[in-house]
Amino acid sequence: MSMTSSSIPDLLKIGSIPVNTSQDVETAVLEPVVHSDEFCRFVFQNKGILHSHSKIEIGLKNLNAKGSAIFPIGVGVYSLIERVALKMGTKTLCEIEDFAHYYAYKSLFTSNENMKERELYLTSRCLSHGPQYEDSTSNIGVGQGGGESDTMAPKIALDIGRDYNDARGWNDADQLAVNDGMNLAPFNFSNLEQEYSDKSGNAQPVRDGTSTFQLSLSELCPFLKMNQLPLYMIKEPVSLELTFSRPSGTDSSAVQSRRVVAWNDNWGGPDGASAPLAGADVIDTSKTRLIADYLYFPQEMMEAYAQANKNMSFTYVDYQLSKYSIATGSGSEDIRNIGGAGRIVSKIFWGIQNEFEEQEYLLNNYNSRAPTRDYTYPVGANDSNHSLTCNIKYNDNFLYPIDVSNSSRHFHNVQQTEGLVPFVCREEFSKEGRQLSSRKFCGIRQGGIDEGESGNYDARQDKETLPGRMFWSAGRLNKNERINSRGIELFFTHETDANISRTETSGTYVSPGYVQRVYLEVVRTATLTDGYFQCYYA
Amino acid sequence: MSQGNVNLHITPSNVLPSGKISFKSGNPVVQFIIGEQDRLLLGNSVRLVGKCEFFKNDAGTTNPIKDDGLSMDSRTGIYSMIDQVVIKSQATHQVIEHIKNYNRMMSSYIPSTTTLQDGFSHLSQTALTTPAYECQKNAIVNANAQNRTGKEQSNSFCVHLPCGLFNGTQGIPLSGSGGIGGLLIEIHLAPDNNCLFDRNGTSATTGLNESFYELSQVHLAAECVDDVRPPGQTSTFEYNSISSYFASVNSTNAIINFNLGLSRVLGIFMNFIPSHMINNFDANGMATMPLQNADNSRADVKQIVFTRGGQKYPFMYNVDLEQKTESDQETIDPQFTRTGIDAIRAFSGASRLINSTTNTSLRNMTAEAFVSGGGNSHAGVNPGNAPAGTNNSSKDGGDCFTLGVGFDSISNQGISFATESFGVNLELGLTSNFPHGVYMFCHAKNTLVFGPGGVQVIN
Repeated sequence: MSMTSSSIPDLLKIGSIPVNTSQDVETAVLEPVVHSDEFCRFVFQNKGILHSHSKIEIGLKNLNAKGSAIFPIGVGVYSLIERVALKMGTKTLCEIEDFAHYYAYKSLFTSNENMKERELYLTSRCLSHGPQYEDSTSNIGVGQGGGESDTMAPKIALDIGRDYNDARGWNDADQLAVNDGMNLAPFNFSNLEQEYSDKSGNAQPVRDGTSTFQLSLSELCPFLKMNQLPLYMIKEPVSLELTFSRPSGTDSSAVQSRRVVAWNDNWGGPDGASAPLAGADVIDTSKTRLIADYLYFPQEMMEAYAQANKNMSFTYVDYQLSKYSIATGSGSEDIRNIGGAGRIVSKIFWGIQNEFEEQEYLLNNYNSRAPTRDYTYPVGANDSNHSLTCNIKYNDNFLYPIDVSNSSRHFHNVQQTEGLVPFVCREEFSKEGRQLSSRKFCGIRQGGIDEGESGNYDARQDKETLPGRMFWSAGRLNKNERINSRGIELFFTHETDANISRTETSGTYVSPGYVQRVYLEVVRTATLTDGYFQCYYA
Repeated sequence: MSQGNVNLHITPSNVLPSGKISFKSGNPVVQFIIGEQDRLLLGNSVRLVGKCEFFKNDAGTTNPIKDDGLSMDSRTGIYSMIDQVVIKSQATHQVIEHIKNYNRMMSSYIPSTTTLQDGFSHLSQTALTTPAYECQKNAIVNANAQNRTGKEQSNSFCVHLPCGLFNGTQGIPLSGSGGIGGLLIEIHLAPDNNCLFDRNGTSATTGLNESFYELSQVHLAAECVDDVRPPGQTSTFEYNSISSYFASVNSTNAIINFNLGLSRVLGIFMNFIPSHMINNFDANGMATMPLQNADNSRADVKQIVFTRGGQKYPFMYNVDLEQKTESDQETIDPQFTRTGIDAIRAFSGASRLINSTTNTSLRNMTAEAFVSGGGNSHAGVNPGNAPAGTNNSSKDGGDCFTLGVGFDSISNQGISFATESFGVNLELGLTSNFPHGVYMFCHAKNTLVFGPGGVQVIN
């Protein structure tokens, strides 16, 4: 019985299909056709329909005692990806530059519960918060099980499902040796240095290698969240190209890793004057592989679908990056043309990063800096926050009738843009209030001390690394209009923190400054005609 | 004409030249007018935006610091400052929705619709919540800028106003012909002594009874979309509304009875607070804790009977709670917790909750102790000087004790109480003279009919 075109389900749309349709899934493990520490290319087999949730397995080589490291807590293993491109023959279907920065924004919308319970294991992301119950300042009550409060939490801090080590009052030499206050050590599987020592410093057997984590195809190529690729209908080679982010240099003071968060002490806390890694954060090319799921429906149905869709087209969104250096500490208004002329742009989002915020920070460079604040520590009497004032002009009109300067309103605009709430706390977003604990994660301070980020390695890692690091801004261009030839103009006044400098024995290195990354979500159209793709801007 | 949304920025129509708004200074009502226009207002985009600052002296010159006991409820945050929300048609001043005791409503609504992680993350930025009392005080009440001439202070907020009209998915027609003719939104601020409190219970001696909060840079943000309907025709608009009621109980057999006059009631929920804690600088006016006796011992709910027109409904039986036969049982009966949540949203869909075993337990409040700056314990090791049951001695934002019943989570059309009264009979362990206020909220469907003849609300 032949199928009529009306009875053929849309096989490419992710969603439900009739329950009486049989479906086979074939899993193929693809090795990359090209792989180095800088670049990798996979070529798909042109068969079946590519399942959008196919995964890439990837990991680093063992750091071999050149320091301990984890992947940045906000983006996890996606920190390895600097650029993604999906190509049909020689044509690029979608491409995202500075992918890990893009993904830092997208990760805001993953709930804390999912971060802690799922992503920690899949992608090494672990941005989850919990109340930090107060530890007694004396030993009162220790005999009854500890002089701690069971209800009083003065601050919140990262919560990955294990306890913080207490450096005070415990009769444990190794705990005391930390001497950095409360510290949260990562799970062993997260640690990229697989040569462990126990609490007493006795070396444990070296393990085979570090953990591998997974990259999802639908996260790398966002249009795959809505569509699946009919590989069996495509006559060109379909390839996925990954360009990897920068590893640490051998002179680690000048060139730091954009791949990992590193520290020296196995049990948390810097214990040396120089930065770790020194070029050890290398991708283990023997482990990288694509686990591709190919979907098959009854042959008759697939043939009928191919016949009925010889000329098919679909629209999708792609992300364009506009990158720009901004002056440090500027309090004056900047007007930037961020492009988009002639395109249909549905939303934009942007953030500001310091180029020297790298492996010594829990988020690495994949953050967005809030305007500076004037707080005194530990207790403030003159606390005040500076604000971002911004607006977006396109097609001769401003998006907001009055420039937006309220940081909670910025947060709301992000929420309205995405239709999802960012799961970040107030101090992480706008740097307002004193919400984050000064406790450490991997020996790197979370909040509480912000008196400049410069100095030597120990001093730099002792400064807070989370407050004001998720201040992404966004705007939904809600008129559904094509942008005219003038493009989109971003008006903003953003006063940054002071610049960062690294003081090492080999010299003092000053950061190139701040960079603003703006992503434009543009609408594109792809057509598949007789097995060949064409794609163009809508 | 272009299609697509436009953003609105509405400033209050009754604000003082200073732009400062506070209950203490005598202007507790903030009024916003969204003018008549041929657009649909997207209710879920409406946000109250501004900044908030706390002062601990009458002159408004000194901000609280770490050693002060000044606090506010950690779970409701900025919502604890909103006493009433009134929404009217701007053209006719017909009241579309009026929620009294809005902050008390939110103190039950938030734990049933958000998680602890929501409270720590996005609600901390937008609504100034942090469901950990000490952290909330450090991060928000103390986050002020003393002597900050020319500088911005810290507490910005941007909150949605959950209510029937704004929670709806339909656009609200603002047009004068075929619409409601614009909206007039009034926010009544709560008294300072019901929003702020001295957690040490010594406000008279410390002078914290002069404390107040002040809002500034207040405005309303919203989105509208062009109204493409033909003008002049009569339309209907269906929305949910919240009606509020207040009662008092002070006996072992508490009876609450109201003629609701509503025909499509979806659920009714209520929370309790000892009457002396209302509008008292020494107690948290937003506490939603279990009933207690004058000596701070438990006054357990033992039996509940919901009635409609004098007959048991929706449960055709007496709801006997575990405490009726097991007086030492510290966990609130699961059926009590479940029906309370079900009254606010269908229990089957309630996936985000703060309610947990840590904040739904029954304890003698005398065992609570609080030592400012130090540890405290439920075991009562350190006798504290806090007033009993400030709702701040529990984890996860304090006790969540909400009594309620959902009537229709399947058809979502509700049950009629138009001609029959709603009642609840409670058998309590309230053996002492210790009156409790009962804030009751009724969640019902309404229909708004508008056209050239005006606006009519059909309950």
